[in-house]
Amino acid sequence: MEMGEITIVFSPGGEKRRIVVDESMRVRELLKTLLLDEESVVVVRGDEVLTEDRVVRPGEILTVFNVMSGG
Amino acid sequence: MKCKYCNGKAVIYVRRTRTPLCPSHLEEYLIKNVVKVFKHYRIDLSNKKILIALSGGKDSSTMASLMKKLSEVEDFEVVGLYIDLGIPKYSDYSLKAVEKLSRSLDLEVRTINLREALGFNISDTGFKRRTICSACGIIKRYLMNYAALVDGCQIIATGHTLDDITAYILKSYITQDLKSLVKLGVYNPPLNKLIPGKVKPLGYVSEKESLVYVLSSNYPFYHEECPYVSHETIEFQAKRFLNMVEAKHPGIKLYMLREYEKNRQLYEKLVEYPPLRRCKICGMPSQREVCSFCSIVKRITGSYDSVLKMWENNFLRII
Ligand SMILES: [Zn+2]
Ligand SMILES: [Zn+2]
Repeated sequence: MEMGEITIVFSPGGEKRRIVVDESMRVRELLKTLLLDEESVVVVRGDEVLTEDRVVRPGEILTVFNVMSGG
Repeated sequence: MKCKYCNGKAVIYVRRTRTPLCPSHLEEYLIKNVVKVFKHYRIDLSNKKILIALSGGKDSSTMASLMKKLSEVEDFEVVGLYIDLGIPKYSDYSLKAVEKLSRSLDLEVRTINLREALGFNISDTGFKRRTICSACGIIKRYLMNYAALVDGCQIIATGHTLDDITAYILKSYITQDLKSLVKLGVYNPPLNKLIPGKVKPLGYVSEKESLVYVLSSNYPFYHEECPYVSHETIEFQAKRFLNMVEAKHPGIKLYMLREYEKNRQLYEKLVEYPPLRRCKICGMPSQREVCSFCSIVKRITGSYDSVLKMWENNFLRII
């Protein structure tokens, strides 16, 4: 059991959210938890773009980029 | 997920083609889509100089990078343009992103500063938000034409994506605005010597593909929103709706655009335009006696003087 928090930073806006997770999970499941559609966001860890099948773990910081930004 | 072509780590799964791609094969896929636009519209790029409209955002950064790369193997030239509207913080950060992009791509970029060229910033016009956005659109389109004429560019390329174009098509269907509908294509040929051709090289590229590209290739871009942007507009809601449809029917946006392109000539036949004349102030093509740009400048500054001064001088600065 690796229970802990994943920190999510949203872009644009910079809003931060912490979610408690029991264990590592796939990006696909994380997005479901956040009620986000896979096609409308891009998840990044450090400078690595993560596809929906990649695994994220408690303790990690992720940036969730909204595809639809009204620039 | 592995890239379909090289087994490298995929950064995107393109649902409409069911293809996982690594950064370099994503670039190859995007360049192919840009080339498709030029082939489909039979746009002859040879010996042309193309003005790349840069906003600092992800889509124009993607477009600039792909066009710059294409220009290195094809026989055309590219030059960037950034219009500094003077929106506090937003314009400054956007300009910084453009400066970084210019260095990273080795792309020559010109800027035009609204205050320097016309004596006002978009933020101190006293206009309401909605008016600012429509004025901003008119000003940007006019200054792009100005820059293209001053700099000898025959084509203007903008960063509009498949998502933008289909959202505007849907908006025009909803409002039955045929005049706008006929102008929404991926390519609008030059009107005359004063109005260059306008192309949207990312017309077959989605916003998600564009965002993944700049992120995975490390190209600079500024991802915050313009303070005047509204999420309540019909086009913004149309984009959201189309994203939901695309999620269930991958490829539907591209299908919608292709079908629109087939019908575009039919729509054109339904629209009647008043004959084009020349604006009596600036001489640019206009449907009215005074063009919308000159009217806005008069409304803000009280006279047409700054328009005339702008045409007498070259306000393009190299960064
Ligand atoms: Zn690959
Ligand atoms: Zn005019």
